[in-house]
Order: sequence, then C-alpha cells, then structure tokens
Amino acid sequence: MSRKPKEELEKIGTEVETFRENAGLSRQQLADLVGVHYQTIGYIERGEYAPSLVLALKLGKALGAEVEQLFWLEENE
Amino acid sequence: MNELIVIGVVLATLSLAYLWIYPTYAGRNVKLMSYLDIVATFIPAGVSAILFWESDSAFNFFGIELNWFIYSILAYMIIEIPVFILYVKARGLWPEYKALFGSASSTDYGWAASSKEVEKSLYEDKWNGLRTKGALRFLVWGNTLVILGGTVFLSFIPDSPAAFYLLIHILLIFVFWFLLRKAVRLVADAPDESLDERLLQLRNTSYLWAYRWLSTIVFVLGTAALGWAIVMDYQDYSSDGWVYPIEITWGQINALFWLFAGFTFSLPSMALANYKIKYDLVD
Repeated sequence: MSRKPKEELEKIGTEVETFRENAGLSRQQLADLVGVHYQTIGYIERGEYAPSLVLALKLGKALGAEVEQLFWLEENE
Repeated sequence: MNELIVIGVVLATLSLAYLWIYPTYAGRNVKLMSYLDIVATFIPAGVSAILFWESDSAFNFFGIELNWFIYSILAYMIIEIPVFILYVKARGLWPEYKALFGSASSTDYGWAASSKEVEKSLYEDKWNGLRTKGALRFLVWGNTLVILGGTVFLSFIPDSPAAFYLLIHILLIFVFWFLLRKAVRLVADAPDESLDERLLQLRNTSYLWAYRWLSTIVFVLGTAALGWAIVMDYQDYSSDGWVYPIEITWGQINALFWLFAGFTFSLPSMALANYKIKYDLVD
C-alpha cells in the first residue's frame, strides 16, 4: 500500500467556522482554548489542514459538537 | 613581548565585557551573554591580526610555539575561565546556565530559536513584507546566489583582497539567514514546545527537505573531488596515485567553510520558505 502524494490527499469537509461563529468566538479565542496558533484554526476552517484526532476532539469539546459534525471526508470526484 | 601585548588586549577585553557590557546589556539573559562572549573571544584575535598578520612571530605557550591566531584564542579562553566562574557565582546565574545548557530540549542547539523568541515571532506583523510569495522567492534565490556566488568569487581572488570580500560575504550570509528566519517566523529553528501540531509538521517536513538538499550538495562536491583526483592521477605521471597535494589559498578555504556553514544555517528556513511557496501557505 502506498500513500498518495500530498496534492492528491483526501479533502476534509468542515463546519468548524460555522460552529465557532455560532459560539461567538474569534479564531484567537478558539486557538487559545485548544492550544494552537490562530493560523492553524484558519487552515482547519478552510479544509487545508486535517487536525490530529486529539485536536479534533478538543475542538469538538470547545465548540460543543461531535467530531463528525465538525469534520467529514469529501467524496472524490 | 608579543605574548604580553596579546595578554594585555585579552585583559582589556575581559574588563570591558565583564565590568560593563555583560552587566549592562545581558543582565540575566545568559543566552545573549553567550553570544556576546563568542564575539568577545575574537576581539583579541582581531587585534592580533592587525598587529601580526604579515609577521611570522611565534608565540610561546608554555613551551609550545603557536601562531598569533591560536595563541590569542587560547589566551582569552584560559584567562576567561576563572573570571567567568566568579562572575556567574557572584550574580547567581548558575540556574539560568543550567536551564540553557543542562536541561535544554533536544532541539535547543546553538542556533535554535528560544521558545520566547518563537512565541513573539508567531504573533508579530512587523516582517509581513517578507512573507509574500515574491519576497520568499527572492530570499530563497538570493541566499542561494549569495552563498554559491560568494564561494566561486572567493575561490578566484588573490589572498590580499580576499579578507575584505570575505567579510562582505559573511555579512551577506548572516543578513539573508536573519531575513529568512524572520520570513518563516523562526518556525524552522523552533523547539518542539513552542509549536502546535501543524507547525511541528511544517518544521519536520522542512528538515527533511533541508537534509535532502544538503546531502545533494555534499554528494555533488564529493563527486567533484573524486573526479578531480582521478583527472590529476591521469595527468601527473610522477604521482604514485595515492597522494594529492593541494595548494589552497585563505580565500578558498574560507569559501569552502562558508559554503557549508551558510547552507547548514539557512537550509531549514530556506526549505520551509520553499514549501510555503509550493503549497501556497503564505501568511
């Protein structure tokens, strides 16, 4: 089994931004809650970075959501 | 007599350093003090260079004859040790030194950035002009050109102006290294504890790329040296085929040293800058 090159990796769908805005949090505030840099929140919200399981669980806890509500795999065309 | 001149310069440098510079500018910042100490170590050598460069004066070091450079460095280090111990003891700086060198993390080596520096750098906007795609490209290519161009240039100029051009070369290498580090927010040289998981991934990938680039440079140079030896062997019939006497100038040995030093310092940040350009990860 070989890994796909970075350009072909699966796209992550995410609702982190919606949940964050509904919670009335800024990126910096959410970043502080889960212990990452605020830019990392931006990358996660744009689906450009797939967080580790630990970070995904922390985000879920901070936003009051299930991990599956926050992230899913985009179907490949 | 020459020995006394060097010792006089060492004592003057130590007095300036320990009575004025370190207490005023470094305080309890032992990392800054270490950097300043590296600079101070070379002051007597610099003065000796001005006084003894062209002379063949031998310096007696407990019965061993040394040249001005080695003598100046050794004299400074030996006289400094008791002064350093007294200073650190008097000011109670041992805990800071232990924290810096004793329990430092595995990534906290010589030119690594401290956690404090990285945290500051991750949130500043002062250097954002360096973080555009165009600026990152300029820094990556500029740094490569400075190191390679300077190496070639220094290899072909005579000894006397080499010292002057060498200083410009070294200055440019450090300027590009400084700007590259600012451009990537010190992430490439950051310790684990100051990065989150995405930044850690970026730093680790940039190290992989940097290692690949460095190994390519070493492989190319090693192959060139091997090729050169084979050609020499073929051309010089008097050679026994095993010994290759090389005449190398001051400029050339420095060109080689700064080629490796320049790339060793800057490759991680260069690789990270290149990664950001490739995957459009500019701030």
